[in-house]
Amino acid sequence: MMMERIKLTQITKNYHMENGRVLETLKEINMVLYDKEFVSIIGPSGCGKTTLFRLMTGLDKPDGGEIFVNGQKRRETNEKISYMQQKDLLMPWRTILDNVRLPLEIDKEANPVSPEKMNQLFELFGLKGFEKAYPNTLSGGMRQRAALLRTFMVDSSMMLLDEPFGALDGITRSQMQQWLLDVWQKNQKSVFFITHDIDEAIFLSDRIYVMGGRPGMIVGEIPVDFQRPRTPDLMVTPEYLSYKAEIRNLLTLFPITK
Amino acid sequence: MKKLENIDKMIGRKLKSGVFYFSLLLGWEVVCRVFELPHYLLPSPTMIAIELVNTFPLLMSHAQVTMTQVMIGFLLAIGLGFILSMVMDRYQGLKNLIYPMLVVSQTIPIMAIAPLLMIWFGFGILPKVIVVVLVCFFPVTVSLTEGLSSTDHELIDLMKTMHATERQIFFKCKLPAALPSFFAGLRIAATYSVMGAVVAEWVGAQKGLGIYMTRVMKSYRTPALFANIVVIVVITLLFVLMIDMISKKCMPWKNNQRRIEERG
Repeated sequence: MMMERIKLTQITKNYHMENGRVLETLKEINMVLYDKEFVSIIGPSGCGKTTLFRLMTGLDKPDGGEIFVNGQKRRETNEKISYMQQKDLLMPWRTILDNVRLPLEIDKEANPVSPEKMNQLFELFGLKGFEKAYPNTLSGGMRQRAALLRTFMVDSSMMLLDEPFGALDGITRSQMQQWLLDVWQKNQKSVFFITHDIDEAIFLSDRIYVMGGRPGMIVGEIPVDFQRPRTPDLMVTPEYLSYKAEIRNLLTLFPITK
Repeated sequence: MKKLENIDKMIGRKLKSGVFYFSLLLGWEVVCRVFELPHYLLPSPTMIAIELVNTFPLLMSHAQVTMTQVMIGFLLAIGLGFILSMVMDRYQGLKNLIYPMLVVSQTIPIMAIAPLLMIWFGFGILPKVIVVVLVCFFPVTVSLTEGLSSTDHELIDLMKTMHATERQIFFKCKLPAALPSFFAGLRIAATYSVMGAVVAEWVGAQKGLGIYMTRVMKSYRTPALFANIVVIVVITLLFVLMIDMISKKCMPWKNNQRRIEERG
C-alpha cells in the first residue's frame, strides 16, 4: 500500500458573494495523491481548481469535509506543501538567484543548499549564467523555470503546480513539459498539477482527475498507463487518442452552467 | 555606429533646448533695456547675475540656515512617516481611523499655522522645522502607505505557504514592493520642504532665505529678490537630484529595466 501524501474527503467549499448569495464552489470532492505520484487535475476554467490548492496549502479553510496531509488533519498540522501559482510571482527587486533562494531564507531550519548544488540546479533548470539577472530581463519561459526552481527549493516532498505553463506559447510549452518530466524523475516529488490542456495532462500524469462545474466536482478519474520515461512520440499512439477521447467526453458531458 | 547616432541625437536635443532657454533670457534682457524698465519692477538677467555674484557669501550664509532646517525636518518627516505607515499597515483598523485625518490635515493652509507655531515655540529653529515636517510628512506617509498596501496579495500568499512570519513578509516583500511609490513621494516632499522652510521664515526669523526675502522686498531690492529665488530653485533642484540618485542606488532593478527598454 502506497503512502497517502494528500487526501481530501468530502470537501465542500462555498463562496459568499457580496449580494449575500452563497455560491457552491466545490462539492463533495474526494481525491488522493500517493507518494511520488504525478497527478493532474483537469477541468474548465472557473470549476474551482485553484480553490482546491488553496485548501490543501491551508490558505483557505473548507466548509465541509477533511483534508489530510501525510496522514494528519490539515487544521492540526503545520506540514509545508510547496505551491506554484499561475503567475511566476518573481520579486522584481531580487536577482534570479535571490528569488530562488527565498524559501531557504524564510525557513532557517531547511536543509542548506551548497553553492555547488545550486550551480547544478541552475544548470538543470536552464538558468545558468542568469544568477545575477533581474526577472524583468528574462523571457517568459525562463521566468517560469525560475519560479519552478524556487518551488523546488521549498523543503517539502509535495508540490502543487497551478497551470505553470498556461501563459507560454505552444512550442515553449511542449519543451517545458518534456523538461519538467526530466526534472521530476530526478527529484521524485509527489505532484498535483492543474491544467486545462488535455494533451499536457495525459503526457505528464500517472493519473488524471477530471472536474466539472458548477459546483466543482470530480466527474472522472483516469489512470494513464504509459511507461516512463516518456517521449512526445506517444502522442500519436491509439491508446493516447482513446485517453484523449475519454477526457473530452467527460468534459463535454459536464460543462459549466450558470 | 547606432550608438554614435544616438549620442548625436541626444546632443542635438540638448542643444535645441539650450538655444531655446538662452533666447528666452536674451528676450528678457532686450525688453528690460529697450523699455528702460526700472529695476525695482523687473531687473534684467545680467543685473540679477551681478547681484548674485556680489551677495553670494551673504546668500549662502542664509541658505545654510534654511537648509539645516529643511534637512532636520525632512529626516524627521521620513522617520515619523515610516513609523506611522508601518503601524497603519499592521493594524488596518487604525488606518481607517487615521487616514482621513491625514488627508484633512493637508487642507489646512501652512500660512495660517506658521504664525501660531511662532507664538508657541518662539523665533528659533523649532517652529520652522515643525512646518517642514508638516509639509513633508503627508507625501511621505501617503506614498509609503499606498505602496505597502499595493503589494501583490498572491505574493503574500506564496510567502505564507513557505511559512513566512509577518516580519519576513513585511521586510522581504511589502517594503521592497513599496519603494518605488515611497521614492515618488520623497521627490514631492523634497520640493515642498524648501518652500515650507522659506514660508515659515517669512513670519519671523533671525536668519534664513525666507527672512532675507522679506527684507529685500520691503526695501524694493528686486534684483536681490530674484537672486534669492535663483538660489532657492537651484538648491531645490539639487535636493531632488540627490533623491533621484539615492533612489537609483536603492532600486537597481529599475535602472536595469530602463536599459532594456532603450535597447529595444
